[in-house]
Amino acid sequence: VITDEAWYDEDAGPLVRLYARVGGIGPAVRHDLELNAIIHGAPEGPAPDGLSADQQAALRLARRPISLSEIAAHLALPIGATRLLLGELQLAGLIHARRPSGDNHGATPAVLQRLLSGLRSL
Amino acid sequence: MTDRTRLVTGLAVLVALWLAAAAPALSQAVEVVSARVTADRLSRPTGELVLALEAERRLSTEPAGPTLTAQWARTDEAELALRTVRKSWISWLADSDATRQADELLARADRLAGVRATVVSRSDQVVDAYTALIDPEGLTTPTVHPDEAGAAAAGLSALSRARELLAEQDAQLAAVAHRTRLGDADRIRLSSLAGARRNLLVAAGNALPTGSLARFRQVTADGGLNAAENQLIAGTGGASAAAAWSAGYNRLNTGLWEVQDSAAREAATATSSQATVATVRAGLVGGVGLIAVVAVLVMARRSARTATGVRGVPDGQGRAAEAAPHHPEPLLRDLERRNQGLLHRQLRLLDALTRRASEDETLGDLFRADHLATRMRRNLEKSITLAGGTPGRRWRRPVPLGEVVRGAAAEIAEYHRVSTSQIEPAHLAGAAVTDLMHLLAELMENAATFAPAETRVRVTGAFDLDDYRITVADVGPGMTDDDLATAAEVMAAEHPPTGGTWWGLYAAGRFAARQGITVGLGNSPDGGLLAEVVVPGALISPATPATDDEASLDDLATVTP
Repeated sequence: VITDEAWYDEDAGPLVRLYARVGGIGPAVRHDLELNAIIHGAPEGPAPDGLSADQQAALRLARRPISLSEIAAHLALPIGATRLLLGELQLAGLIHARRPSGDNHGATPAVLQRLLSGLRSL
Repeated sequence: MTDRTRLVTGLAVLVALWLAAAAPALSQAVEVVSARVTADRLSRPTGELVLALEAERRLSTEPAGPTLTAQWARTDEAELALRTVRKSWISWLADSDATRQADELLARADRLAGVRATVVSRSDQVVDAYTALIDPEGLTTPTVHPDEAGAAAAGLSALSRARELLAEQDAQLAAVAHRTRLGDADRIRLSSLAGARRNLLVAAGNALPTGSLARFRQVTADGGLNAAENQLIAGTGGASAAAAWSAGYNRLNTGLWEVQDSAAREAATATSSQATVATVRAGLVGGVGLIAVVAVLVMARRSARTATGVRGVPDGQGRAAEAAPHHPEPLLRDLERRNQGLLHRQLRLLDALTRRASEDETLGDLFRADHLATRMRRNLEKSITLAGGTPGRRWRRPVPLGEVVRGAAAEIAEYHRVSTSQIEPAHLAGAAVTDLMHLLAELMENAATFAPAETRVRVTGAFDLDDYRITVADVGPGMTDDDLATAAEVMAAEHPPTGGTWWGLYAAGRFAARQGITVGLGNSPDGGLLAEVVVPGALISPATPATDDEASLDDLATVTP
């Protein structure tokens, strides 16, 4: 009589909920992080305690300038969640963000290709 | 049980109060209505029989002839009419004055045949014999109208009695008419009858209903009768006085009969409104009181049922527990399964919402909702597992152990205090995922609860030969040796300890036992509690490079120029 409903593997949902991947649950602060903002890590970076695995991964990605959307693609996170995640790192002074300049020498076809495939994987 | 006794006593008192209030009102109503009905139905035939007997008495003083025989027939008719009414449906309404007097009159009428025999033998006692039939008690008892209505009833009694005295006096006069001179005894008799009649008429005038009073004054204002009466008693009037008496007698007798009839009607109308009031009051007191008593009984019954239903079942599933007092588990398991399904759908919805949300504030709120739902799911899966079941979330393939650890951290209230950065990549067998996750959640929550709020809980994971060792360390006060012994005992026990303090560790022990995992608690050298979880190698497989975060990030780095 008991309805034994079960959900297997992907149907079971993510093991780590999104809020835990993004980091703290502090008050939401509006950061000036646009979709195409360029993120790069602060030069002196003793990685502090209490960063989520995804925040640490984002820091590693930001060793070189990288756009917010690219980080989101690599972490397989939604843009909104990525912005919160990076917002915390920015508040902690671990990264800097700037608007993209007109000539972006970093955007090689290979990078764009990777970005595209990452976006597709969303 | 004392509550029940108290309830029953209270109800008994209530019912007794209601009966005490309703019974008098009800019996009064019955009394008034029955008196009213009997008076209505009995007064006319009774009065007609009295009139017939009076007429017979008057005629009996004269020589027997066809007139007297015809009057006998009329009297018998009137008697039969009264007997018929008395035997009809109102016979059950006994005990009213009217029924009693009608019965007594009928009983005396049984002697009528004997009285008529004295008439035939021309006895001198014939008038008295009839008078004894009509009204044996003399002046004290009202003849026809005995009922309620107070002063009006007294007035009516006096009136009818006066009229009867008048008729008796007429009969006496007729009886002595053939004599030339009245004897002293006759004179005394006549004058006492006249005096009594006059007194009664004064009394009646003081008490009659106002509507009949004018007619009564008009009827009794005739002075001719009294004058003729005086002359007859004095023996001075002769034939003219006898004629004046006869004419006055006829006028007065007819007039008094009319007044009596209309006054009786008037009194009856007054009584009927009184009867209505009494009936309505009885209805209100009896009916409303009965409704109140029934309502209280129903409420008491309902509350008593609720009280017995809840006893012993703290979760409010009183009805279900009543139906199956010894086996509520299947029902509770079913409810847990249903809740699990609902929660799963809710979390999926929250997933979709958080992926869509672009406002930071909205996202923050959604995260908080997600966190609460996740903690709920942990409790629910814990409940299912402790009852011997398996949660609905299942994995066929191995999953990254780091995600299991981070998922465990996400399940506790202060998840941001947990550091999970030192986890050696590995995979965990799918069947052990929920058990290990909830086990670690218990240990992390324990650590976060007992360590100061600003401190962190560090979780590490690394291979230990074939097995995999996970540690959960806090910087709290640690535990005493006694507590450590108790904790080990609780984690090994099959049944939960009494008191909630150790329930978390008991659950951890159950989760570990299901998968052959061992848990050890101890104080770490630099302070704080250190929990060591050893996952057997059978549940662990090495990490596949392609799925590891670190590997893919390195991969990315090589592409970037």
